Amino acid sequence: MSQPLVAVDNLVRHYPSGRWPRGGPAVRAVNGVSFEIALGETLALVGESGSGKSTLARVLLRLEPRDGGTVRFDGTDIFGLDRRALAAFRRRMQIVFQDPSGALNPRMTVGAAVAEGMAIHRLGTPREHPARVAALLEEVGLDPALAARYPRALSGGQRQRVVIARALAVEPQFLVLDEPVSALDVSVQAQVLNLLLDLQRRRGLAYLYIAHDLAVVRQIAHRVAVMYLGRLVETGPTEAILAAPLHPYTQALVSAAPDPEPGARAARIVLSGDPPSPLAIPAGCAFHPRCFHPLRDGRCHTELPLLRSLGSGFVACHHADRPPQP
Amino acid sequence: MSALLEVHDLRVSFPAGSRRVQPVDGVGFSIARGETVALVGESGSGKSLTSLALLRLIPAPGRIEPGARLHLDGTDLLALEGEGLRRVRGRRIGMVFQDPMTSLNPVLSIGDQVAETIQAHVPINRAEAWRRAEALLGEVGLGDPAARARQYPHQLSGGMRQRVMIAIALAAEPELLIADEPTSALDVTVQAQILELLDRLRRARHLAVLLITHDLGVVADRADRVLVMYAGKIVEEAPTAALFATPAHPYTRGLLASLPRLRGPRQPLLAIPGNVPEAAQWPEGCRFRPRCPDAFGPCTGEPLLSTIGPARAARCWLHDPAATGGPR
Repeated sequence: MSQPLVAVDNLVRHYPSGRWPRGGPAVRAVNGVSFEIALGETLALVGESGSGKSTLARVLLRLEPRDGGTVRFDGTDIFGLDRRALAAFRRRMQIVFQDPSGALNPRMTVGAAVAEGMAIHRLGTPREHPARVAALLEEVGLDPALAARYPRALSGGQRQRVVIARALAVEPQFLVLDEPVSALDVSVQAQVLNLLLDLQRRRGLAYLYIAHDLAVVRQIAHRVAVMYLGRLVETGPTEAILAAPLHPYTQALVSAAPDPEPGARAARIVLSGDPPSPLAIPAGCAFHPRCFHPLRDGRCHTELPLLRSLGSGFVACHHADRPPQP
Repeated sequence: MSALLEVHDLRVSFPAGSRRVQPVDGVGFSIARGETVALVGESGSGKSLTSLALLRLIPAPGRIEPGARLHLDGTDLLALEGEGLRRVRGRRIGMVFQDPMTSLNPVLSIGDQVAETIQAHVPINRAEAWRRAEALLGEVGLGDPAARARQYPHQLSGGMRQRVMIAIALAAEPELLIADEPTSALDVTVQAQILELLDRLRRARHLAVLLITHDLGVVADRADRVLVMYAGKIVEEAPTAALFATPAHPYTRGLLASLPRLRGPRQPLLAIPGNVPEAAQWPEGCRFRPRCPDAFGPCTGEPLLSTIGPARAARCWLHDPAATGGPR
């Protein structure tokens, strides 16, 4: 692979907890995560609530500080940039959130919302903006006449298209997509997914796609990284991970995913217990209290398993070379 | 199989300017004891209003239009008032909602909340109610129920709170359980646990379950029958396996084609064009017509729900023998 566009190395983000001045244990939201994304590629980051995936996305864009590790964008360490230089980099990376209604200013027309970033980053003259807005709206499948409307006049799916057009307005190379279709109706989800695939093909964008729905991930991602309590537990090509997951947690996720085919699923793995809190991450392998691997042993309680190369991907499990057979 | 719940021609209306709109527009179905029926639809389809109507909880100025029939094991739910209505709500019909946090009282222990519900319906003393509450919390899968009963909602995870909600819904030993998006706010691994629990309770208590959801994936393994709702009407009704194998209504087909799959060849998704219309903007004739790839001449007229096989029906002119000159 040529030089990756985004290279994250051993990224750490801890939050203080408890009451001032004494404080409690740190919330270890992101705990040493590394991955790379190339232009034209989609990496899906999969995990449950509390896994740290949304924190990771925010740190990645330097929307909040890190406590360790580096993020390189096109070779440049973004935490080494001063404010001015960072502003220029910000143009190249954009984020799309789950709820398009919260992301749009209700008092701003669609056209003004899409043009705002162009003005901030001085892309084209104000005169050129209406034509550029029209072209962008068309590119995301909206009628350019909607530029004069306010967000409340639009449906959820149309609003998410506006948010995507606004992100594209500054000509980014990298989009963080944080559950972008989860709040949309089923019949509209497919429209937005198809649009994202289409835009990537046309513009060669790199995506970090944050999701909990593995069927959606299969549709959109080239590679998958599975996160559990602040660490990656398995990464690899999408088809390989979904067809033959090696980490017990990934196996449980694949098994629990709702599948619209009655009887298609083999024996279902139902994990006991809830995901533990990032305030009190279990020692050793963080997954050990919920693990069902027949070979799990004392080592899992004491020794942190590191990601190691296995098959076509990487797995952090002491017993990954003999995964449980569902 | 005799039905526990029978719903016939249910219409719910709300004022919209000078006229009234009917977000639920002539819904009818039945559920037998021990059966799980899924009511599937997107936002605005009328599925949640349908469930509120069963409990007579439609907020004013909304109302159930005359002509509807709601019968629970022979009891006419629409004839009930005051105490009689209270005896049905929560007692004979239990309810579980999507967000367990807003349905629980944050300043009462969960044991208190379950015991209180039991006492509201069964004349027993406090100690006995508390003992039953602990047993119920154990039955819904909370470990160490005696200790859990003394905890408050904020001390529990989302999945545990939903178990508590289910315990409260079961406290008065209902015959029918309505679960409205019971797992939509939960993580996938926890989702699987809750669905498993509902299924176990249905079997153990011979409950009738009405599962309301937007997620066809949730339905596939859990429901005996599926009702697909679109724009206020049931557009297809079928046993679950048949619905997924041979969906009959173009809307159902569209929904299934637009779902990403975990297995099988990876294909481009066939999205349904357009958006779900609001009740004030429902088109004349078949309400799916503007988004339908198969629309033809007769579709400007209102389609009826026609029987198309054993326990199967579809509201579509393609399946109506009266339509002529169309495809097939």
